[in-house]
Amino acid sequence: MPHIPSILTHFSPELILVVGMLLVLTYDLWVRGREGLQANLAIITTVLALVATLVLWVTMPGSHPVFEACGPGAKAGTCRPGAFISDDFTHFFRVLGLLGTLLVLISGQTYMRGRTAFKGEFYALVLSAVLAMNLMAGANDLIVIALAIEFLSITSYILTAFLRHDGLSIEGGLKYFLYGSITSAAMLFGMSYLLGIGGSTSVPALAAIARNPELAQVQGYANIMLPALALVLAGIAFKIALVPFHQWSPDAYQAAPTPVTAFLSVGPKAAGFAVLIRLFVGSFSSLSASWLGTMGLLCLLSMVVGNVAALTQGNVKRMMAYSSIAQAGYMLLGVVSLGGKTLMGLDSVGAVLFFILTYVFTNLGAFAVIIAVEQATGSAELGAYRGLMRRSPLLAVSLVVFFLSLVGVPPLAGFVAKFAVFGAAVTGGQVPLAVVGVLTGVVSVVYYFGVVREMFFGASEEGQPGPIRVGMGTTFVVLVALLMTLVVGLWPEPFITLANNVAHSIAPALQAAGGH
Amino acid sequence: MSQQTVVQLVFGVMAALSLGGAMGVVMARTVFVSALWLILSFVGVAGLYITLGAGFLAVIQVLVYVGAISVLILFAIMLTEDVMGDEHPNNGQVGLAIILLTPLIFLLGKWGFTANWPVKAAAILPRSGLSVDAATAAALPGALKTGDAFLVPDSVAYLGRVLMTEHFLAFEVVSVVLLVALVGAIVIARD
Repeated sequence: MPHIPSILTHFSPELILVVGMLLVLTYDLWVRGREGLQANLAIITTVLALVATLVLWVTMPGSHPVFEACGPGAKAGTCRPGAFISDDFTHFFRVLGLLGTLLVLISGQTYMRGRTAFKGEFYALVLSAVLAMNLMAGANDLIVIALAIEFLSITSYILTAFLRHDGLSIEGGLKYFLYGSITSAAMLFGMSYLLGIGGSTSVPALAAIARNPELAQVQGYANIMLPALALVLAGIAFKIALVPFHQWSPDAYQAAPTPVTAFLSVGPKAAGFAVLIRLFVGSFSSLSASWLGTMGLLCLLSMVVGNVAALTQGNVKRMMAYSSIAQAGYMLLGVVSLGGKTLMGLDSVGAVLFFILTYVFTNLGAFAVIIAVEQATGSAELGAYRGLMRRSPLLAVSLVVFFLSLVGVPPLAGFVAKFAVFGAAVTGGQVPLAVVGVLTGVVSVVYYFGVVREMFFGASEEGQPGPIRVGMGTTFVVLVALLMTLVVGLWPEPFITLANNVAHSIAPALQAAGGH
Repeated sequence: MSQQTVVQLVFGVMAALSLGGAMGVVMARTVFVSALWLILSFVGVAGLYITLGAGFLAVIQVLVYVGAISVLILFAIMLTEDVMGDEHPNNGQVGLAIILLTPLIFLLGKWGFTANWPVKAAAILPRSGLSVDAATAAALPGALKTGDAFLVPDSVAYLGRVLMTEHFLAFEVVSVVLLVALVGAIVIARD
């Protein structure tokens, strides 16, 4: 069998995305007369990358470093670890990111039609955002991590400000940009400390140093590790929108074109957690004394501030921004519950992965409804949902199911996910945080129910607006999300097994490191 | 004066230039003056590269940033002057920022200066062309082995080699990032 370079196999989803992005970008140049097919081209690219990922996952399991640096005369075993690693964990986040993007592209296609003249650019930017997320999922080197986060940020700023004639859009994009550039600088500063301590940007090399017991004897090491990890955490927390790095998110969510909001609420969050788990749990779990406290604080603040601030929002997109901050807090609860065990032997990392899996589908389903309502009424204010039950029973009932899942009502997917995370927290020594999580979860019922009340019992002022025509794309996405929310809730075993396997691939030594 | 003192003196001057320039950028009343301060900051960074033994990077910094990018920024400002207002953006929170950040910067500085950085010696090595000595290797086993070269003495060749090997992925991703930024700038700026 001829030798195939690992870039062409284990990096193929990313290569497909780059090629697809360039084709979408130049579509207008080489096709005349058949405009508006860029969206289809973007969908095809995403599907191809998804297929490539699934084929890789099934046929070549295990961990495969890509971009290993071996000089021409290098001795065996002296290669520098790859800057990118393609393992089960990478595949999991690749699949989530690509599936999420696919659903956003399908449900958002008609929304973007007629709103912008830059169709090719829009879809090319969406594809490059997925590319950046994939890079974050597999990044195994501090420089690549920083670059991928920056890549995703730049793409997100542009997408947020995409409808620039809408004054709000530019304002949201600018706020996002200002916060992002400052947290990026903080993160890079933290990384420079890690480089100074470890002498390498490679994550496996840094992890080996972190596990070295003699590290503790280096003078002043604890003083360096605490701010270094806290600053790196700040950069990632900005992408995930954890309190207190969240101030950009309500404005950006409200200002962005709604399909972009849907994308921002799942894509960067999932990718941010990929980096967070690989770096902190996968590599620096032995240093948990330096980061567990900081992360616990972020978790507490996110759950409380997210759920409380959502109570007073009159705009559903803003409300979803705070709701997704709170959901990120629950995910982080799983990360800080190192060594916790929950449902069916699921460990704490597995619980987080399972939570992210359910969150992606539930949240995208909710946003598909929000996009459809905004298209019909031209607004995302609470009043636009008045009498939705009469105007479109499908949208109204689905939104109720998604909200119930986000609250965590059995037998929906969100219930199993919350149960898993809280279980991990209780057994992992984070009981106070778990109690706060349950209490704030009860608070969240109030704001979700505010929308439900409008849909079912709100009386319309200006007569009886007609039924809403729901497009094919939206119906498809809503049904897929509904199906996943129900199936994962009623039959969670295969998904729990999947999450557990993926979790074991990233942190095989977690059992040894956990429990403190 | 010993060589060490000279290096420290040069470092101090260059650090003051880059930090002072950066302060000027955010404090200046007009964007044009900000851009001029930015040039000063770029020069300071080039000086820092020299004290670290990266002469090639310093030259590139001067050629690209001081020479080309600054001029581009100045052109952009002059061409868009009539569409920009000249109000001074200041949210009046300078005092609060100073109160909050002073202890943080003090602590970071104190910890940074008192820590025994395992690779402290590495900063001096590229200029001398030395490799890891036994004492440095013993300071952190696993990270460095005695005899490892920290950096090759010729930093251009070294730079070229690592860009095409260790940091190849980053090198390629940067080009995609630049393309996306360019597309974004056009989308947001064009009518």
